[in-house]
Amino acid sequence: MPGNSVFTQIAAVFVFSLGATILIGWRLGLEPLKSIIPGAIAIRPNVAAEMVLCGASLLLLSWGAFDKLRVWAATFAAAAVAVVVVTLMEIICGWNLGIDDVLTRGYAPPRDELDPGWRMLPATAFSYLTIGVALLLSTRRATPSRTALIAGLSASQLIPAGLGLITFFVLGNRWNPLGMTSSGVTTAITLFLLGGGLLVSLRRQGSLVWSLNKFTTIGFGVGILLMVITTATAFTYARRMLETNTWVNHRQEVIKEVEQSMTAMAKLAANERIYTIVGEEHLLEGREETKASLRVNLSEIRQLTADNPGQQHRLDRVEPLIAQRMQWEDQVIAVRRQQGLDTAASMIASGRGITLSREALAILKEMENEEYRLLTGDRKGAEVASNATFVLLPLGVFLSLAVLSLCIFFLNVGAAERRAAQARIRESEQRYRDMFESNPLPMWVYDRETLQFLAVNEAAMWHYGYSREEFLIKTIKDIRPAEELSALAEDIAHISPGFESENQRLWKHRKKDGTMIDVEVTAHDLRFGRRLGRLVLANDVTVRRHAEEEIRRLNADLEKRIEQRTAQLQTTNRELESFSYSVSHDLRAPLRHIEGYVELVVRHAGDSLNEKSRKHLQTVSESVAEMGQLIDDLLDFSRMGRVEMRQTRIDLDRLVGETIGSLESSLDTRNIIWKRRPLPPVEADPALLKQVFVNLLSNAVKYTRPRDPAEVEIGCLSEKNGEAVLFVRDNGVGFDMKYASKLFGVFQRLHHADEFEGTGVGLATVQRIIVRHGGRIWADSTLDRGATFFFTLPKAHLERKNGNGRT
Amino acid sequence: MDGPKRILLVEDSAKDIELALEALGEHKLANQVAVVRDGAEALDYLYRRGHFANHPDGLPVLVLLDLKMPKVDGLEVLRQMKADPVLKRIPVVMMTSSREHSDLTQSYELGVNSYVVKPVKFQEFIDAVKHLGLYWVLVNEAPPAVVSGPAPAEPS
Repeated sequence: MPGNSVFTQIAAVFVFSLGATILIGWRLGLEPLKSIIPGAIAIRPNVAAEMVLCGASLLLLSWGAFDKLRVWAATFAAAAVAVVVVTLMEIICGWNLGIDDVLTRGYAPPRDELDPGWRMLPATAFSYLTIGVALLLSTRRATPSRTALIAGLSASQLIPAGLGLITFFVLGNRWNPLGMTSSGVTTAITLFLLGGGLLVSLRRQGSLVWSLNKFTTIGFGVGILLMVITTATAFTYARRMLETNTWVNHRQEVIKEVEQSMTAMAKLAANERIYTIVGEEHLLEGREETKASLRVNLSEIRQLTADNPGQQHRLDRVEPLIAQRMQWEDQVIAVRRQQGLDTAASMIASGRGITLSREALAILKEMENEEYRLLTGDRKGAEVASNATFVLLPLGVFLSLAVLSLCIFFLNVGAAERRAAQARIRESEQRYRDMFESNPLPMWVYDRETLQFLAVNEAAMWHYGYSREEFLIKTIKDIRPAEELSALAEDIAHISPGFESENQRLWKHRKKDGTMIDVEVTAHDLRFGRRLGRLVLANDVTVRRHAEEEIRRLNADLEKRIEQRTAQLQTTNRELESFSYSVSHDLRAPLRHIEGYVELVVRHAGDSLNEKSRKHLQTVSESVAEMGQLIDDLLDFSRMGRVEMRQTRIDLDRLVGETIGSLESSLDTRNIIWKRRPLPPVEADPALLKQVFVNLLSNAVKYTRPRDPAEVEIGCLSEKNGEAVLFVRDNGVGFDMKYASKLFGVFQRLHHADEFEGTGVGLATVQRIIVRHGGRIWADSTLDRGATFFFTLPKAHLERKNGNGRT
Repeated sequence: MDGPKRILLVEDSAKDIELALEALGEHKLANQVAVVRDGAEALDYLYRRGHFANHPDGLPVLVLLDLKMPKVDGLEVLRQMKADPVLKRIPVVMMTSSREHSDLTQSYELGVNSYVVKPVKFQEFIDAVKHLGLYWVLVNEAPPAVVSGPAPAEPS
C-alpha cells in the first residue's frame, strides 16, 4: 500500500489517544488526565479536540488507498481547521462565540463573559491551523507544488516543536528560549508527531525527495540554528535585564529601610538629650510613633532580606542592641523626670547609651554597605547582559542572514543546473519520442497485465485507422482475431528480454475498417513508467505474403508445366530415337542390298560386262559407300544430341595425345608438325570430348594436305570465369570468312567434295557437343592462310572432380 | 548335297537371306542353313512346334539372328533362348544393320555370343559371314547337348 508507514500510523494513533485521554479527563473531572504531565496545568479541551481530529485524519491518510477513507480524512482535517480558524478570529476580533466552552460545559464552573479561560493560546491555534491545512492538502491528488507545500507546512511545525522539546529536555525550564511551559511540551510533542508523520508519509509515497545538495541543506540548517540561538540568547539576556531591574529596586528598598532605621534611632537619641536638658514634657510628644516606625522598618528589612542569610544574621545582632538602647533612653527619661537633671546627666555621661548606639549603627551601616555591594554586582551583570545582547543580536542576525543568502545563492546555482539538466533531459526525451513517433513502422507499448495500449506512434494510427484516443482505450486483444487469443496469452506469458530472432512472430491484426492484415511482430518487454509493458514493432507483410503466395503458386505452375514439357520432350526424344533406329537399320539395309547385288552382278557377270559398265557399277558401289558414310555421320550427329553426358574431370593433354596418336597411325606419308601447348583440365564427357578433338584435328589434318610441313597447334588462350578458351590452329587452306556463318551447319561444306572429302557433319557435331557442355565455338580464318577454331569448356572444379552430369 | 541343317538363319528380308546364303555358299555352308523369316518361326523351329513340329533336323549349332523383325524380334528370341536350359547353350550371333548402343548392350546382357554389324560393302559382308561360319561351325566345338540332340538326321 503506497504511503503506508509504521511511524506515521504510530504517531497518528499516539496523538489521537492523547487527545482522547485528555477529553476523558475533562469529562470525568480527573485532573491527572487533563494535564498528562504531573504538575503541569490542564490542557485545554479544544486543543485535545484538535489532537483527536488531526490524529484521526493522519491515521486514515496513512491507510488511504481507498477513496472513502480519503473523504473521511478530509472531513476530520476540515473540522480541525474550522475550529482553529474560529478561535483565531475570536482572538483577533475580541469575540466570544462560545466555542471554547463547548466541551467543558457542565463539567467546569462557568467563566466570566469577558474571560474565556479555556481559550486556546494563539500560538497553539496557529500551529494546528498549519497542520490542519497540511492534512487537508494531503487528501488531494499529489502534485509537485502541493507536495512541496505540505512538506513546508509540516516542517514549519516539526522543526520549532523539535527544537523546543530538545532545549526543554536538555536545558531545563529555566533557560527556555521559546517560553515553553510543561503543558506546552505536550502540545509540542503532538505537533512534532503530526508534522513528522506527514513528512514520513510523503517520503514513503515517493513524492518527497531530497533534491537539494548536502551543502545547501546543511547551510539552511545552520542558518535556522543560528537564528534560533540568536533569538534565544537575546531573549535570555532581555529577561536577565528585567530580573536585574527587579533586584535593583529590591536592594534600594532595603537601603531605604536601613537608612530610615538609622534616622529613627538618631531622632530618638536627640529627643532624649533635649528632654534631659530642658525637662519639658511636650518635648516627648511623637516619641512613641518614631519607635513604632523604627520597628516597622526593622521588620520590613527582615522581610526584604529573607533570602540573604548574612543580612538576617546582622539583623539578629542589631535588633537587641536597638532594643537595649531604647530601653536605656526610657530609663534616662524616667530618672530626669523623678530625680532631676544631675542624676540624669550623670547617667548619660556614663557613656552606656552611646556605646549601644554606636554598635547598632555600625551593624546597620554594614548592612547598608552589603546592599550597596550587591547592587553594584547586579548593575554590572545587567550591563554585561545588555552589552552581550547588543553585540550578539546583530551579529547572529547578520551571520544567519549571510548563511541563508549563501544558501539562496547555491540554491539558484543548483536550480540553474537542474533547469539545464531538465532541458537536456527534455531534449533527449523529445529525441527518443521522435524516434518512436516518427518510426515508419507501427509501434506501440501495451500493458502486460491489463493488455491496454499505453502508447502508440503515428504510423500505427495511420496504418490501423484508429486515433490515439481510440487506441489508448483499447487492449491488444481488440485488434487480434478471436482464434489467436490463446496464442496471445501464451505469447504474453513468454518473457522476452531482448531482441532475439525468436521474438519475431507472424500474427494477424484487425484494422479499424475490419480488414485483416498479416504482420511480422518484433516485441520485447520493458518498464514503461510504473507498468510492465511490451514494446511491439509491427510490420505489415500482407502484400509481401500475397506476393510470396503468388510466387509459390507460379512456381508450382511452372513446375507442372516443366513436367509436362519434359514428358513431351521425352516422348519426342523417344520418337526421335526410334526414328534414328529405323534410319540406322532400315536405310542401311537397302544400301547393303544394292551393294550386295552390284557385287553379285560383278562376280557372276563380270566377264561379260564391258569396261564402261564395270565403271558404272563401280560408281554405284562408291555412291552406296558414300551414302552409308553419310548415314553413319548423321546417326553420330543425332546421337551426340541425345546420349547421356557423364561429366568428369578430363586431362586434356592426355586426350589430345591419344587423339593425335590414333590419327597419326593412318598418316605415315604426311609431314605434320604438332605444336602442343599445355592444356588445363576441363569438366566434360570423355567420349564426346574425344569426338570433338577427333573431328577438329582430323579436319586440320585434312585441310593442311597441300602443306609440307603442315602445322597444327593446340593450345589454351585464356582461363577466366571458370571456363577455358581452347583453340586448334592449322596452316591449311582456310576458308573465306564470309561463309563463316555456314561453317557449323549440318551438311554444309565450304569445299568441293573432289577437293576435300567429307559429309559436312563433323563441325556440326563438334558444335553440338560444345554447346551441350555450355560452351561456345567460333572460327577465324583467312583464305589460304590457315584456320583457327576456338571453343570454350568449363574448367574442372576440385570439388566436382567426380561429379555426374545431366542429359 | 543337303546335310543336316546346322545353322539357323533368322532373317525377314529375302534379299538379306539371299546375300547371306550367297556368302555362306562361298564357303560351302549354304546347304547346312535352315532359314526362318521371323522370331516367331525361329522359336517354333527351335521348339519343334506349329509349322516346324516335324522338321527332321536337330538343334542347330549356330543361330544367326537378325535384330529387327516383324512379330517377335531378335532380342525376344534371344531372351527366350537364353532362358531355356537347353537352348541357352546354342551360340547366337546377332547379325544386324544397327549400330545402336542400346541394342548392343541389351544383346550382351541377354547373353549373346557375338554381335556383328552387317557391313555395307558386300565383300566385307562376305568376309564377315565367312569368318562367322568358319569359326562357329567348323572351329568352335559345339556344346554337347546340341551334338547329341534327340532329332534324327534325315535326308530331305
